[in-house]
Amino acid sequence: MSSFSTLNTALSGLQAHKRVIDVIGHNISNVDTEGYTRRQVLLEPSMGMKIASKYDSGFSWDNLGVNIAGVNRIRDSFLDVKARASMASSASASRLDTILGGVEATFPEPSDTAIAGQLAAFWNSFAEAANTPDSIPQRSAVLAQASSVISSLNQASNDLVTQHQQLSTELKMAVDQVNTLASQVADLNVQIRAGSVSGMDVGDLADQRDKLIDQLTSLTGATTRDSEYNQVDVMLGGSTLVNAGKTEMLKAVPVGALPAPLDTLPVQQTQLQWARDGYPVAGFSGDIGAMVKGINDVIPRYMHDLDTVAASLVTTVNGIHSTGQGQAAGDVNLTFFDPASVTAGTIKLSADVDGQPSRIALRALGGGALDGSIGHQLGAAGALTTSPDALHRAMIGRLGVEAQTATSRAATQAKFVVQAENERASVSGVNLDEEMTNLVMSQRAYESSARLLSTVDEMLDTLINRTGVR
Amino acid sequence: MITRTATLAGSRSMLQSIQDSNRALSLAQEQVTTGRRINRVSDNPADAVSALNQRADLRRMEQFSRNAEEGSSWLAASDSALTSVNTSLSNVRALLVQANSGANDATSRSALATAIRAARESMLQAANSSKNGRPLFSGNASGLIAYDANGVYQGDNGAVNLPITSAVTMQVNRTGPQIFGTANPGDPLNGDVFQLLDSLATSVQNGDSAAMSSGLNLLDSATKVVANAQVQLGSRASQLVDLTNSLEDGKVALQGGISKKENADFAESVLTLKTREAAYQAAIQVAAKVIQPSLMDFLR
Repeated sequence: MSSFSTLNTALSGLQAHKRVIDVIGHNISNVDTEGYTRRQVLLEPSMGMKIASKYDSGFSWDNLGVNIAGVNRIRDSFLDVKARASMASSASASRLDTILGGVEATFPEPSDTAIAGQLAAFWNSFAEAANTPDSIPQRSAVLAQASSVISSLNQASNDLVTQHQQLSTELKMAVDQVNTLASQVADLNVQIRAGSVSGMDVGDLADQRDKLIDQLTSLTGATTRDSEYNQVDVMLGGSTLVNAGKTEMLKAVPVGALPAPLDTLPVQQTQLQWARDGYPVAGFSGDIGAMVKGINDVIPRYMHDLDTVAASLVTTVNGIHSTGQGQAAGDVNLTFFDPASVTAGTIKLSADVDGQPSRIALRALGGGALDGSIGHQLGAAGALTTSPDALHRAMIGRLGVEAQTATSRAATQAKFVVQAENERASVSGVNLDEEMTNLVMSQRAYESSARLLSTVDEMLDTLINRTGVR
Repeated sequence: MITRTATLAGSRSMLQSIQDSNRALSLAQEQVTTGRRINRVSDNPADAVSALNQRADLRRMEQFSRNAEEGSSWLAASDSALTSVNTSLSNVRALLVQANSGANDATSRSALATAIRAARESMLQAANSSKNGRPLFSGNASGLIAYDANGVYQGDNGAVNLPITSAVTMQVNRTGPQIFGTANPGDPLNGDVFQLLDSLATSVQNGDSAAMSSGLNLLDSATKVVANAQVQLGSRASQLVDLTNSLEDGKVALQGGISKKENADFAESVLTLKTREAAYQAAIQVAAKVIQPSLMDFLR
């Protein structure tokens, strides 16, 4: 046992607690850093390194002091999984809410000016014209009302197509973002591997990677798998999006018509594929999952519903109209709407009556010139159970319920995310009170080590300067 | 359970609560400023759809009301025309009785015949009464008159049927032949009332007392037909008044129903707004207090 060995013990204490204070400083300065995981210095007594021998008393007088065993990132991977799952659900729910909000804004019901009100006014214009079948102004009013119904339907259909296009663009951007994030994760994996192998502290890199993976998960619902040398693989539907340092790219591509009955719509189905082999990606969710659902299901479904309303309007009106007769003797078997254009985007007046109000059939076939029976029949058509009005109301009802569900689900999921993040933060987050307490403790430990140093110094002073030769 | 809290994690959930309470506040504001409970369908899908239904019903009822107005103007115009026809017929009857009393010379008979012809003229005029240029008694035919100067019917047998409620369709016109009888060129006495008056005038002129007595009976039965038509139109008019009243009641009820579903109760929404405002202020004040303290504040 050397006379100076206690100095080393004091030195190890000074060094160790200096490091602890450094790490506390790192923690405190990152108290507000998003994605930061608090660090903790692991200390261990140096004597643990001693190799036992049979002549030993069981305690080594050499190498006393404290060792830094490592710096830990305090993180619970179970809470990570939980938080990320709720992030993916929340991103999906909130995206769906936005999509349905857009569809809902296309149908500003209940109001006098939206489609339901327009249809009611349209039917009434028939009845009004039927009361004075010889009045050209009243007949023209029917055509004018029909035009405003047509333009409302066209407008709504256009709005939906635009929303579909915008969503497709957003999906492409989101897929690009996923690809970028995935390559960043792969880059970090490479750096972390190199760092781990050479024994460097890779905590800050790991924090950065966890943050990227959070984003990747809320976009796609991807899961993670730990790999060697602190690397992390990112899995999507059983395949690897990130495999250590390698990335598989994604792409979103249109793949032809939607399945029936949506196959007649002017929009295409979109599929998320692996860029390398064009194989469809399975099991994705999150923001992108909701976007794909919006593109392939939600918006097309309401497009189709709206087309059904338009088709019913065409067949209902034409069915009655063609049984009647316009003002001239030859005005028989006429259509009101163009029977070849039965979608909301294309519906238009038929060439039979467009601009020719006198040809609107208000009288029964062969009826008197002032007969308005067909007009009144058309005026009452809005009350039929199969009327476009009824179909439209049913659509609005479905939309309302779906939008309401989406809104409340988004709100609930957002709460789950906050809760999961709080749980995660309860493990990984920095608590200033705790850091301050640790700081006080380390400061005292540092002071004590310094005191030990000066005590040993005094002892040596006594030994060297005050004993022996005078 | 969370046993350890990160210092700033609390602020995140606090932010979330503040945002929640802010959102609730802005929804309450929307209700107060728009005065509507349902600003989009998803606010209350069930009520929104039923409001849509009631709106459609209301619009239909408004049209029914306009149809009923149209109908009552048909019936009122027809009634006044028939009243004047009735007056003319009783005048003719008096003239005929006078002519048949036997104390008339050729001059006075000719004067009586002229008076009968004049009555016929005024009846023709009444029979040609029109509403907005459309003859009342010509069915659905397009001409401007129901009877020409010779008393020949120009119209058709068309009915003017107006839907007054979703269940009731009412015929608001009577055609000329239904009121004045069918013309019979071969046998004027058994023809329509204009032919009858024409031949009666001739009989009076000629002093044909047998024809006059039988004409009196025919005249009475023609009068009865006109009176019947008038009674029928009158009973329709009263039915129409009833239906119009119930339409008005229905409209008021529907408007009430729509307003109940769509419109916000002002007192209630203002109260909600105030409550949420208070909750929001409390949330931000608590946040301001809670975020601050840490051990740092107490260590020197």
